Amino acid sequence: MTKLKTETVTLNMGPHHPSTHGVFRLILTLDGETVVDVEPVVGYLHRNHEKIGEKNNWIQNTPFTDRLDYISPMNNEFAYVLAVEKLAEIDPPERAKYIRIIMVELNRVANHLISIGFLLNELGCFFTPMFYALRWREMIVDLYEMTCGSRMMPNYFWIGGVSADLPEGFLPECKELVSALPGFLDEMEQLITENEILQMRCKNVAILPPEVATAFGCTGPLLRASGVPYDVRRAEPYSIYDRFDFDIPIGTVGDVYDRYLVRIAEARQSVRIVDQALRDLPEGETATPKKRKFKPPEGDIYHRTEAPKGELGFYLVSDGTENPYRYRIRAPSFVNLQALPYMCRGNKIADVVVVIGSIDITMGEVDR
Amino acid sequence: MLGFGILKGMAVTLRRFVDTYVADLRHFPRRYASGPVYERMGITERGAFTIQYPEVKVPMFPRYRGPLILLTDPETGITKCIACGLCERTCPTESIKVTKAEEKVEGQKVPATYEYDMNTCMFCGFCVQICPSDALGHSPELETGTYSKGEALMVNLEQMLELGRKHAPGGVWPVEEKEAQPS
Repeated sequence: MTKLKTETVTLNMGPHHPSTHGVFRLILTLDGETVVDVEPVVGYLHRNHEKIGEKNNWIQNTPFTDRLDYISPMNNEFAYVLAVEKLAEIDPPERAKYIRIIMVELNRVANHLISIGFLLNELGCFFTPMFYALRWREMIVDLYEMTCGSRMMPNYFWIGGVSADLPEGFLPECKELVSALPGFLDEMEQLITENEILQMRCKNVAILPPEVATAFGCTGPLLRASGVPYDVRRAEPYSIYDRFDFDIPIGTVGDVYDRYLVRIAEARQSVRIVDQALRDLPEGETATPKKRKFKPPEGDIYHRTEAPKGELGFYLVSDGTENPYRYRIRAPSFVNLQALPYMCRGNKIADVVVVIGSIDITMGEVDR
Repeated sequence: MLGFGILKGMAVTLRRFVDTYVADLRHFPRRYASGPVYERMGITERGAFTIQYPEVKVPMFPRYRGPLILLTDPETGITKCIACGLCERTCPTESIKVTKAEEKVEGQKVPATYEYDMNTCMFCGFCVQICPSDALGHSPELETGTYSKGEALMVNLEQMLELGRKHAPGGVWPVEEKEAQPS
C-alpha cells in the first residue's frame, strides 16, 4: 500500500467554547487528530482597563482591579494597594495587615478549588467534582459577603487599611471553616487523585521542562509543578509573609497531573497560613482615615505579589497628581498562556482542552 | 488493582448521598415546613439541601451592597442628605448627579434632585463610605432586573427616599437586625 498524502487542517476553537474560560479563540493546525500548531488569539474581552486606570484617581482604581481576575479579586486588590502604599510610603495598621492575609489566602483556596473543578470538568467528569469544590468556595465567598457586602467584587482593601473591621460572627465562622477545610481537601483527593482515568489523561501530558517554563516567564503553580521552587511570598517577602511558616510545594515531572497535585498542596499551605494569622490577629485600628483625594509623591514603582495564578505585578507611575500617569499590569494568566503552543504541539486535540484547564487562566486578566 | 481509585471516589459520592438523607431526617419537620427557611447551610453540615429560591429567600448579610438608598432621619422626617456632592465626585463611573435646593429646610441643606443611574453603577460602595452625613445606604434588593435598560434603571430622589424608608426605617445603614430581607 502506498503512503497516502495527507494535508493539515486548520480548525477554529472558540471564541465561544465551553473549555476556553471566557472568550478566547485558538487556531489549531491539525494533522489528523494530532496538533501541529496552536495560535492563541486574545483580545475579545478587552475593556481598556489600563486607560481607565489613568482616568481614575488612585483610590477609584481598587474596584476596577476586582474585575481583572474575578476568581480571586482579593489578590488583585492586594497587589494594587500594596504598590500604592509602597509608592506613598504608607504603613497600614497591624490588624489590617493580618485581615488582608486572611482574606487573600482564603481566596487562594477558593481559586485553586475552582481551577481543579474546571480541570476535571474539561476531562469529561462533568460537574461532580466541581460541585464539591463550589460548595466550599461558597463558604469562603459567604465570609466575604459578610465582611464587605459583595461576593465576587469585594472592594475591601483601602490604601492604608481595609474598608471595615471584621463583623461580629466572622471569627468563629472562619475558625470553623479553617478547621474543616483540610478534611474537605482530603475528601477531594480521595474523590479524584487516585482515579485511573484522571491519571491516564493527565500523567505525562503537556510536560513543561523547568528551563522552558522559566524561558517563557511562567510563574505560579505552572512553574512550581515543573520543579522550580519559586514563590514571590518566599523569594521576596511582601506585607507580613515573613512571619508565617509555610512550605512551597513543587512537582517533579511538570505535567498536568503535577499541576493538579501542586494546587491541592498549595491550598493546604494557605489554610495553614490562615490558621496562623487567625491565631496572631491583634486588636486595634483597621484603617487610616479615608480621603477622597490622595496624592502620592512623584516616582514610579513596580510591586509584585504571588496571586493564585502566578506573579501579579503593578507598575505605577505617579507625576504627583491625583491620577496615575501610567498604570500597567503584569498579569500572570497572560504570561502563562504563552506556553500553551509549546505544551500542545504533538498532543491530541482532546488534550488541548485539558492543557488550557491546567494553566488556569481567567480571560478577564488576559485581555484587561 | 486497576479501577480501585474509581471505586474510592465513588465511595465518597455514595457517602454524601447517604448523608443527605440522614441530615434530612435530623432536620425533618423544620426544613419541609410550609414557612420559609431562613438558613444558610452550616460549614459542618454534610448533606445537600436546596433552598427553593423564588419561593424561599435567604436574608442578605447586613452589609450587602445592593442599589443605593437615601436615608431619612425618623425624628425630623427630612432626608439626611446635605447635597454636598461628594458622592457625585467620588463615583468612579459617574452614576450620581446631585443638585442642591435653593432654600434650606429647618436650617439644613437638602437636595433638589438626585439622579442615580443603576445602568452604570458598579456597586463599589465608595459613595456610602465617603458620605459625611451617613445619608446613603444599600438596599438588600437583589432582583433588580427590568425588561429594558435606560429609563427603567434611573432612580430619582423620591424613589430613593421611598426605598430608604422601606429598607432602613431607623435611618441608619447597615441595618443590623434580621429585617434586611429582600422583598
